[in-house]
Amino acid sequence: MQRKEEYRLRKIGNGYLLVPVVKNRIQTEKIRIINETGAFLWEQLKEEKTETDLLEAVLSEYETDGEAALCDIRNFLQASFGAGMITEDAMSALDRSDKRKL
Amino acid sequence: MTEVQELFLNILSAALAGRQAEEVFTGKDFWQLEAGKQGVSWQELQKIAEEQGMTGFFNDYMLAWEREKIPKPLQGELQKQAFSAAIKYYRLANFAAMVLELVKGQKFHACILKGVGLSAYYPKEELRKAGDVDLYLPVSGEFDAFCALLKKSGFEQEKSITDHHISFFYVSDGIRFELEVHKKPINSQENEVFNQRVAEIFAPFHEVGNCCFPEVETILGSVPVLPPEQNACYLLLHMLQHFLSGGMGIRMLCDWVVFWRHTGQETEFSVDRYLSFVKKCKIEGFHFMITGLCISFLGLSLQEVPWMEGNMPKKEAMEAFLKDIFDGGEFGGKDSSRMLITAGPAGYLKEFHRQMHLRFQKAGKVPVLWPFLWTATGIAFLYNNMFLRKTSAKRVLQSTAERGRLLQEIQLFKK
Repeated sequence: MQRKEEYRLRKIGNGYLLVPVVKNRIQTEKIRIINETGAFLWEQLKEEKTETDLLEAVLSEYETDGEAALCDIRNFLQASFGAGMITEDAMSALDRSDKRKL
Repeated sequence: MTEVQELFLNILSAALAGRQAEEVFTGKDFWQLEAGKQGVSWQELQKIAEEQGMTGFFNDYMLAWEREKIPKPLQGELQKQAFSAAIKYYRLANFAAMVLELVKGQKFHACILKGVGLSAYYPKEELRKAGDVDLYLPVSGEFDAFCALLKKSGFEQEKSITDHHISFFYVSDGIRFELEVHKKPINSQENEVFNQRVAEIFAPFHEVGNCCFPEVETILGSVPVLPPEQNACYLLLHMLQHFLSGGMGIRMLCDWVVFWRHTGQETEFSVDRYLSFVKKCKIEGFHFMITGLCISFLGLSLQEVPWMEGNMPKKEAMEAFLKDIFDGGEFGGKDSSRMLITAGPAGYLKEFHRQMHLRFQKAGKVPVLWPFLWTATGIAFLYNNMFLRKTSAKRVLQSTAERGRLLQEIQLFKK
């Protein structure tokens, strides 16, 4: 899975905005506010990543347990997919990994 | 300058450098003036940021670098304001892109003045407040044609009492956007020689062949701006225009800092050429004052503006000037009685006459009509004071006299 290129990540204060720029216009109605973990995941998705890659990256960056991290990752991926921010492969990757237990 | 004003400027200085305050102010107890310690409160700091139109920029820095200094209950509100400022900028950037597409579509020759063209020089472009789009169309004949195109494209013209631009507005998705189409960079001033010299500096752009405007990169791609020498001169003249009317604002000083940090270091920028423009307009005093303030209070270094060596204004004069900026807020908006700064009674009359010409641009060319036009201008002045500015003519004259004393004290335009 990979993020769509038209989204720009902007750090504003202590939060982040994902700003879609399509055909020389900012689609202001599609701007999303994300938190630091979301921004971290977004950066990871610059390149093709699997859910396992993301989980490993989160666990090496943050002090958190695997289950909570996976839950956060899935929530992020689902919301991002719903908003059309990541490639369609993401959902199939999510479906596959859904069956997997930690 | 009060403690809270000093702290505000120090914070801006660090924010403009994109670094943590402690790094910028090494060896000083930067947060000595922290809330509660010496009577400086967050409310006061925020009030100044609002008055100076710098809420987004200020909040962003504080939240990103100094969050623990902000009282917890306020953090969410400050973050919301910063997001809101950014989104407002994105909307305006879209509007600017739409205007530039109209320009390119018909092959007009134009560039953006200040606004999104300046935001690009900030550490985060979306956090410089931008209220409208200013477009400069210098080529003779193109100005009227472009205004006609705007009207055909759904823009509405507004009444404006000025001879350098025409104001339009455009409504999209219920949001109103403002566009000022400039045929001249600044309004005519009372001094004809000055007006002539300003016109000469920008005269080359009347020829299509000279309109190869450089571009700056923004989130929406490249935006044409004035060549750096004229751009610096324009920014200075624009500040002067505001200083001579209601007042300037700290944001304009911040613009000056980022401009010199960015463009001032480019190899193709001829500082000598820019300085010759300043000399030609006889505004060296103003130019040294503005740059001196940026060095003394906003972190601009002498390495970035080496021509300031030996030209720093006196400390007392800088403090008096800064007080005028803080007292007036952004564009003097904090005090509705501020309309003008002039050094003596003759200045009032000249300005009154100039206002008559701006208000009645066609009829003003017929001297026999002047007594009627003066009367109408006087009535408009009284009406606007009473119903729009909610102040009295007496207070306006008092304020003008007070600021006039400042002008004499700091000797900006000493011959």
